[in-house]
Amino acid sequence: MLPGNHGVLVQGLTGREGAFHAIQMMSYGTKIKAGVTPGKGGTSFENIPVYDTVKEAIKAHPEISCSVVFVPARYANDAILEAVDGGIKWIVAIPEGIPLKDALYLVNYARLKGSKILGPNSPGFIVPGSMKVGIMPSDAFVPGRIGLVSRSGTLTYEVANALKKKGLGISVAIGVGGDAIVGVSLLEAIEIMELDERTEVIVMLGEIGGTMEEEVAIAKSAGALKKPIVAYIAGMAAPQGKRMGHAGAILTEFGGSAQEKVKLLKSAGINTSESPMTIPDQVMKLI
Amino acid sequence: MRLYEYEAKRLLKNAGINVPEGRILDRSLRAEGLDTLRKPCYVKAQVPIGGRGKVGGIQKASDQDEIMEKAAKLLTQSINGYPVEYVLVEESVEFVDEFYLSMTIDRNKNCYALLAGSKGGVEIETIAREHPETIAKIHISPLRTIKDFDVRYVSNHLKISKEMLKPVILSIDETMRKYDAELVEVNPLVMSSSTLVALDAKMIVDDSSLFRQKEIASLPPRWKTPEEREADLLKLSYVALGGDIGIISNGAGLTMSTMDLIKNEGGKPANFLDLGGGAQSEAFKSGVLFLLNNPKIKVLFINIFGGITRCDEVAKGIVASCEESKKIKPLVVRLAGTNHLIGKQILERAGIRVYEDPLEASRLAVSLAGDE
Repeated sequence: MLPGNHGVLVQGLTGREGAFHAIQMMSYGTKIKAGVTPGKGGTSFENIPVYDTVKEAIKAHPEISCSVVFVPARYANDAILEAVDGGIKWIVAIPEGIPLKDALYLVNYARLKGSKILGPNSPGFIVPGSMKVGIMPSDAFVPGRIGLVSRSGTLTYEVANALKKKGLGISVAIGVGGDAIVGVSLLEAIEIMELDERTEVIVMLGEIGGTMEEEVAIAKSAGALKKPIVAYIAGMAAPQGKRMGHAGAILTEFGGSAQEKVKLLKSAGINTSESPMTIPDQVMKLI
Repeated sequence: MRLYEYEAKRLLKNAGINVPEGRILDRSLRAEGLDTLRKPCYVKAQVPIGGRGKVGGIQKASDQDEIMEKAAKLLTQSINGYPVEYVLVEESVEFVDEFYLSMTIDRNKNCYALLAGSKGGVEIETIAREHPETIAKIHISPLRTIKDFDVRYVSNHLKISKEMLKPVILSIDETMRKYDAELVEVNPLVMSSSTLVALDAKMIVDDSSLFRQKEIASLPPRWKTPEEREADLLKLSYVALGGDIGIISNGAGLTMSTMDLIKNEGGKPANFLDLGGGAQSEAFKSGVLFLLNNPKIKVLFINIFGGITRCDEVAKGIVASCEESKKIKPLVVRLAGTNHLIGKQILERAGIRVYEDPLEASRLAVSLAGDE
């Protein structure tokens, strides 16, 4: 399950991105209890106390169950390790450009310690009307019964907005991140939605590269996923061997093309959409 | 970043793997040390793409004159679209057996994977398709190094003695982690008079690690098209696709889906250009100008969903680029999200129509390009 709205820590609170989004998150209703910026312990920002270390922040605010990391990519490795060792169970990693080797280590280390990393290169998650942890623009999301899981930020906003126009709202949206190695897979995010009572239909936004969508198709075929899924895979027109913006969006000789993914999803009984704009109509048929 | 064969081999040699004795030549054709190579030699074009052997990128030469002649010719050629800037001249190696050995990152299992094949010399995808049983795969957690039991498994599979194989596997592991590699591949690894030699090598280094991989970052720049070079200078996230409808969007996923929209409507996307992450008007201006200057592009399709990126900044950038550019091309602009109404006002004052529905906009772009 996703963390409830008990207490959120912002690592990198006083930086440009951290400060901007902390204010956005608070005005959305997210309970931000503390921030960490090394060297700024003892100060405060917008009435949020700032600490030098995660350990000190947790000690003062034991209700913290989630941390969102806005630290620049080359320092993010240490920040995420610090959150894991601080015992935080959900860590939302926003930065883009964390080296793969570090991400590999972090994801495995976190798992060993019982923590989950959403991302890296994730826009976070949002429970419309209740809380958001990350950078998603709130306007596009209205409360509803559709679970949205995605590898891409802006595409998530586009689809949430298209659903909103048809009077459809979101129960929860989870951005798993655009990097090649991420902590929470599309399948794990879908499993969260399977257990979420508010979610009736799941929309999955995948893209070229990797095998996360294949994993979902296999689980669906095996009967492990009960709720209807509508999927769109970005990158039908992508060439081989070129990275399309996201570090994880690359077609290699080992496969990962949109065409292959769509074929597998279809054969697993998952509805696929040719374009993000046709998703709302497909969802309507399933509600 | 994909390394050239000679660069990958230099790193592997430093890590203790045997590679054929060789020299590198560039277009100046200064042939230092060629005379000390045992002939015959192979002259190998250095290009960052596979399949060069099939198109004449690897040639045998029996003496110095032939080497120079073949090298000079290769250095004027292109292989699969890449001009040959370097050739590697290597002593030929007699061998009895060819193997495949690589280390890569398994994105599905979040770990390293060691792949060992008893049939080397063919592309891995071909081996995987035709003889999957010849490949052994071991998953290695990033929390540990390669151990003796891993080596034993591979040794039994390849039927190579553990003593010979162990240093090779450990060197590959060391190179992989030391240089932040996504792939280290030796194919073929050959058995030559009781030693293992890496006849060919391929290596890809994680771009996100280049800030700390000083040795890799200081290698000679990879060849790029003039267009790609300019995009690099402008720090644009750009990929050329060859069609005639220029695309600008924000966010990788939305940009890809914009390409798909154009393709679904029967159009041909000219490029991928992602101006995401809260880009300011200046970035949009240079992005639009960059595409306007591309003679192959007939129509520009700008599809923005504002989040951190503000549509008023986008609009200002578009207007500024149109004022500056002398090249007149039809623009189709779709704006939604943060400040889209302000953006719309700015553009309409400049005589540019703005659409809200991406489908309608993409159809228009395709019909303007006359692709249908």
